[in-house]
Amino acid sequence: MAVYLYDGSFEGWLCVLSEITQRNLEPVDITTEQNFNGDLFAQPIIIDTEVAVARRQWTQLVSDLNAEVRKQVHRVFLSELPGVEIKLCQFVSLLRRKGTGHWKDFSRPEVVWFHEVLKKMHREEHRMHAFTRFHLGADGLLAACIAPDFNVLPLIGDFFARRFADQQWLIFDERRQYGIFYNLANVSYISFPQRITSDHFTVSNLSADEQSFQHLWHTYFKNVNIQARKNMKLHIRHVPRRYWRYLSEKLPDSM
Amino acid sequence: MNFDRVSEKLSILADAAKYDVSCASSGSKRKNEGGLGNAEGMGICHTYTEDGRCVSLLKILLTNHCIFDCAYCVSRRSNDVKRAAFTVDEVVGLTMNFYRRNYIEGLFLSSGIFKNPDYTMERLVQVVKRLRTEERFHGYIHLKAIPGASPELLKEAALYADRMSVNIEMPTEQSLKLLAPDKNQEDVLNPMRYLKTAIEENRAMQKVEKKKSLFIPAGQSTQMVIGATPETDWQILKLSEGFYKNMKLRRVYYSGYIPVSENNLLPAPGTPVPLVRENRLYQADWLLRFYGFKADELLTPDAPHLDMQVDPKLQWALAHFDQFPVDINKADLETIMRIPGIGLKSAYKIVAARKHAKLTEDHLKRFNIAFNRARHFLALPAAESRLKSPTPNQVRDWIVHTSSSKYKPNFSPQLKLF
Repeated sequence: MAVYLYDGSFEGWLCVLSEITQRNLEPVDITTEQNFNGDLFAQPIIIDTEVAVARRQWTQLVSDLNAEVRKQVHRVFLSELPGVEIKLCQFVSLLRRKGTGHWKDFSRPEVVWFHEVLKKMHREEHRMHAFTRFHLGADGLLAACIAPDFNVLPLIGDFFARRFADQQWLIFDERRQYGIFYNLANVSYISFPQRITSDHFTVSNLSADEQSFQHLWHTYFKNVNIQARKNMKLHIRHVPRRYWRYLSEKLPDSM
Repeated sequence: MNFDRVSEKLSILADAAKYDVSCASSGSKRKNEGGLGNAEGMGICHTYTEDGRCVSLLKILLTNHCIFDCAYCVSRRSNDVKRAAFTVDEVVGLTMNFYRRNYIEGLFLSSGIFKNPDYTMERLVQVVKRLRTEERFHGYIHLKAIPGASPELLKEAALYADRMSVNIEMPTEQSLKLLAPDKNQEDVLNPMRYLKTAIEENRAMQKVEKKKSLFIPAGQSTQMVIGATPETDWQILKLSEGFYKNMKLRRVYYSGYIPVSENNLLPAPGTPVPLVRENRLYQADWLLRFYGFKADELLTPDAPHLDMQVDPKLQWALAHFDQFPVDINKADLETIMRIPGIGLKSAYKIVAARKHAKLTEDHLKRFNIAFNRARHFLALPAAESRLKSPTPNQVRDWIVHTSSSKYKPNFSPQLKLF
């Protein structure tokens, strides 16, 4: 009755997967040391993260599955949903046993679960493409603050690098306290020693015209509304309240 | 930029432009080539209005001055509203600055017709040319084609825009003549025809010359006003089908009439917007484009109205009840798509899953289909308390009473005391 503990990173999970495949033994649960609740019967076994092991397992996955499925496995891992580590291992074992074609076999509950999480991830990524609002700083840097439900930062960098290729930008995840930064050549991860909140982006260090453009956006948003068709329930379904603090047009009229 | 003046102009000209409901920013293939922005693949809705509509583009009129007097339009010549006009600099400045901050996917530019159609179209072309060539903007641009504009201007615009559209507004020539006597349908259809031919010519030329040049990559669209005039749903659907088949349009939009004027030819101000009818028309439009239906299958001149209580696919299935029940494990994809309660994605999932296992009721319940609706049309082992061989009307009553439609309050016979 083993519970495997790992460090929470994707490389760590790959090492756990490698351990499971080698020993051909499925643990009861896979979790991080912080989340482990001390089960009476379970033996906690700590799996160390070794980069070489992780890399080997990653290459092994592309030959066992294929490049597309492997990419989606990584995506599902980033959802950070409870139980995702063990369910993903079960999914990968299923595909290794039955063949990669079964990843669309919706008669199996593991496959249905996998695609449900994938759909959630896609939706959150798409929302982040939509709701990331940049503020132009006095130093010419465009900075944005977001708080996605899932860890989508590693997945949205490419989109913004292609679109805003001619300006430096920074997107910061307030919940997870790290960000991505584009320096006109490539995208890299960035973090700060102190705790950063969205106020750092919206209040301090803004360029001269920034407030005016936000006001113009506010004006536009107000005037695009058709009162005769008002439907707040539909509106909130599309723009849930938890995103409102990052969207300048939803903040109360400050001007 | 004089922010106060631009702010005032923006309130007037965004307000006037909002009745053009086209909001798509998808379907283009524009890559970023050393400038700002791109327009590839899926569109993005950066926010939503309080009535639930998507805001993905900066949708404005260049000016709301207009020489015409169409009774259904808020900017008609005889209406006493504040008039304003943007300069080319202001439009370019707004677009670039909003885009940089990721507020929008691009620009949607329309205009009232001032002086004459060509003069107006020329100014519109100036804006998009500046954006593409001087500012190196590669985001999405949706440009209106002004009815009556000359082909050279249309062709030049198409080199810079991702989509162009011209609104048919009234579904029939008679309605148009009644409400806008200065206009005729040919002025609207001519730009559409010209652009359709130009797109085909450009495509043929690209095959020969092997040169990639974008020419309205997201195609054309149009818009019809619903509920202002007495056309039937059948007439409207036949018109849409014609647009898709013959004019090769990508989208037809249906805009429920919002009464903006006191005119005894039109519904009075205060008349509720026909939202349910608009929704049913969009559902029927989807059936035409994605589900392989023809307009004549859904409606006929004798039964020209869409059912308001049930969606068009269910309406069709009840009228053709002899084609059901369907065996989910044997039927082909086209038949499965016609089962009420099963959408496109679920139909593909079913066809993919049945390669691995024979599908049972339990499997189907996991597929995210409207199972309570679809069960009446599927060949499943007989369930406990269901009637054997019900009539279509019994099935319809069953579904209407057990489902919770978002429009139910409109149809409830209960007294509303509060």
